[in-house]
Amino acid sequence: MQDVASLALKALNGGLFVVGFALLGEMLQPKRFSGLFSAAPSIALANLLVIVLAKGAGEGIASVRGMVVGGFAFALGCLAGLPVLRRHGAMRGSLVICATWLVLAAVGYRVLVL
Amino acid sequence: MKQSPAQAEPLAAVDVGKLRKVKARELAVRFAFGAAISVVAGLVSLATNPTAGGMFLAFPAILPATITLIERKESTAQTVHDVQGAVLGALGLMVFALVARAGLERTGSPAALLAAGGAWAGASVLAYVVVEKIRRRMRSVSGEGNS
Repeated sequence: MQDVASLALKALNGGLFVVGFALLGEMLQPKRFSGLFSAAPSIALANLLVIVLAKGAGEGIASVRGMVVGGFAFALGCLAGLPVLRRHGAMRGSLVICATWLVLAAVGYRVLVL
Repeated sequence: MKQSPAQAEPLAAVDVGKLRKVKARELAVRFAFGAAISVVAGLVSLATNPTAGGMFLAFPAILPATITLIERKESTAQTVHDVQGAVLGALGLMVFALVARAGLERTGSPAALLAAGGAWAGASVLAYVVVEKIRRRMRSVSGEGNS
């Protein structure tokens, strides 16, 4: 029951933080600058606040350990997706970015835990 | 003396008026993506461990929704610029994680997360300014070479 409440709170918090950062990004120009906010720590802040307050710093520290791998995979995923984005548009570019992230994060996780 | 478009464009600007063009539906889509990836991260954390769940705190969940909207409203070229910015923001996420870890280890306080958020903003904006200045200088040098 506590897990369900925690998940619901994370979902609500995550949605609100994402909207907040998105509005901030909308106001900024040029696009290369506002693009920083497409990779803002909105979900991280929203979830880590709940984690640290509900379960303590120990679980938060373990979570941010994984986030280093996730951030690296995110940056490389974007670089891999750029040529596809230029040629085939946002839909296929997004697919490549997310697929690259999944592969790199899985590899990174294996390296991190082994 | 004529300025090239890259030089004429400000390095960074704020246009609050653009908020009026944001539709409620677009915000609802972003809210749904944010909520969904938060649940996924939480479930992965419960099913495996917090480190695996933590990776999903840096999943590019919002980017697809953002660039799809930009492509529809503006152009594919603008989506490319957005993703170029996201590369630097994503590197900033690593800085966020490292600062959050150091802060949580030392203080155990949620305030460490605010410091990490500030570190993300500082590192991302600094990286943007450096990369953008180099890019503009290179474009202006190649422009002079062509003229």
